Amino acid sequence: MKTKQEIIKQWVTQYTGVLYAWAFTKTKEKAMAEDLVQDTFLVALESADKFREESSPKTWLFGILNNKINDYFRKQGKAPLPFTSFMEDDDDYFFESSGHWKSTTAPSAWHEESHLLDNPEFNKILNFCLEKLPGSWGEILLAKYMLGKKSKIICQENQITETNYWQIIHRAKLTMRDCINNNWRE
Amino acid sequence: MNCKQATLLIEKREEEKIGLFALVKLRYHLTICKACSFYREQSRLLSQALSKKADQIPSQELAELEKRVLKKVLDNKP
Repeated sequence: MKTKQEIIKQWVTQYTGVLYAWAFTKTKEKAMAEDLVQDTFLVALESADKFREESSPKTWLFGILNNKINDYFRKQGKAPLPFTSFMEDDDDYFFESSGHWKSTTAPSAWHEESHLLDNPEFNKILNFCLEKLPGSWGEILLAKYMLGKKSKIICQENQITETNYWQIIHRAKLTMRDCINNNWRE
Repeated sequence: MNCKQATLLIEKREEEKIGLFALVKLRYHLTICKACSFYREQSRLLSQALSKKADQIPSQELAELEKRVLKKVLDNKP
């Protein structure tokens, strides 16, 4: 039988990275994100008896962290990032009214694509572009990809329709791709 | 099918099944549209990069963060 401390130690090693990345995305402050992660594990240690084996530790820890994040926003009197819906607009940045790419935004080849993910410079630009996304688009992208949440869950959590969700994913990916394209020099 | 519709379908297809008719139209569009083929490749790459986002914290920095968190959490034990 493992002691509570041993279990928490194991969880700290396994989940600190992903919890911290999420807390940072929400708060945009390094020190605050670190505090929130610490508080999460403190609560986890105190209430470890309530943890049921059948739920995954990751889900459980994220539940605690999200409560902490909500408390933080409430105390600060800050609202979480506004949800920015996408408005269909005559003047589309990416597409002509016919729905075809504008010549200025049509994707072309990237070089050395297979090695990009290991390139620190590429990851820097990725972060830069992620932070530049409007409203909560970045959060929704990370909920989908980094946390691996299904679209249904994200729609419930953000109270958006499925159509709206796909518009946001679509626009967010288009915007990210374009931003990386414009900032990346091979 | 135009590029706006094609790129939306590319995103949807990553997570869910799309109808056979739509799939055939998408496949055909991708054979004639270079820009959308590049979009598909680069969008997939972005998906991979975003999935790995948590591992991007430099390992040194992460190790120190873990140490600090652990110390605080275990010291706090009454």
